[in-house]
Amino acid sequence: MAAYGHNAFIRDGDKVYRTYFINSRGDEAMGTTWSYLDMTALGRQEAWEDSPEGYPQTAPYKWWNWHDNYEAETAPDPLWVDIVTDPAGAAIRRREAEAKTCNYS
Amino acid sequence: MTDIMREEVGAPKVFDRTAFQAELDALRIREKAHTHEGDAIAAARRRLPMVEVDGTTTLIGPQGPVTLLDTFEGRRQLIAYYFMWHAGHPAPEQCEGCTWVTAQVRELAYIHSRDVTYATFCQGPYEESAQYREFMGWEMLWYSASRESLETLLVGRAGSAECISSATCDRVRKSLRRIGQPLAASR
Repeated sequence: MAAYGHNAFIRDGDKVYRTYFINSRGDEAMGTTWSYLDMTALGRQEAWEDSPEGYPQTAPYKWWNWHDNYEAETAPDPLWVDIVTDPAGAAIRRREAEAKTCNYS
Repeated sequence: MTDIMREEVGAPKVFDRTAFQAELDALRIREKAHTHEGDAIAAARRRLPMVEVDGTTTLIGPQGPVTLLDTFEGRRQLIAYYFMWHAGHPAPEQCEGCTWVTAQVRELAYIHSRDVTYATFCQGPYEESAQYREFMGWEMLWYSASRESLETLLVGRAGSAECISSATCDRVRKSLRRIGQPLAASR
């Protein structure tokens, strides 16, 4: 038996299922957030993904939590989320905000 | 500054900036196609079936025996890497490939955000292998799983009662070994 490799499991209450297995050169590709999520049954769970009907999906980036912080205060900085999801709009909003606070002396 | 990298040194050819960018742009077309094909394969992967496994399978953790279900830590999904172990051997003699794989694991909060847990299932005694984990400075969940437990997890629930008797189980193990080869070749 190949005694090494990556497995993915999903549970439904107390029932556990194995959804995927890969090893050898497949292991080489693992190690990043995306490669791990892409091997799970539910994927990255992002709205752009082609997934079966009813799978959980939300907007990209906004779900990133740092060091397992789920408190509202430690959620990703809204300014950062803005920059990542809408760089052009964020730049305009930043310039407008700076223009308002600019002091001409 | 004169060319440092010449063809005969076994390094890329030197082009001017415009020509370099043109080559980069040309390759990018293939790289984009690769990315999109990766997306399509991931979409197909999400449409694979699944097989039930025994959630009561026992593993040994830092606080003693736990079940496979426990290792989910309440999250919906689990990624478990099976780590080979050579009992009684010192750190430098442990599995280099498994060590390489495990060394890539870094910030797991992102996959936790997606309700996914990552754990290492090591096929060796807990105390011995946990020392290796600590020596390497790793922080991921670490459990000891017997070879029998892992084989049950690979075979699945259907027929697991028969696996206690050797004939059926041997046939299944042999077919799994053959399956292991094409997976390596195709990837």
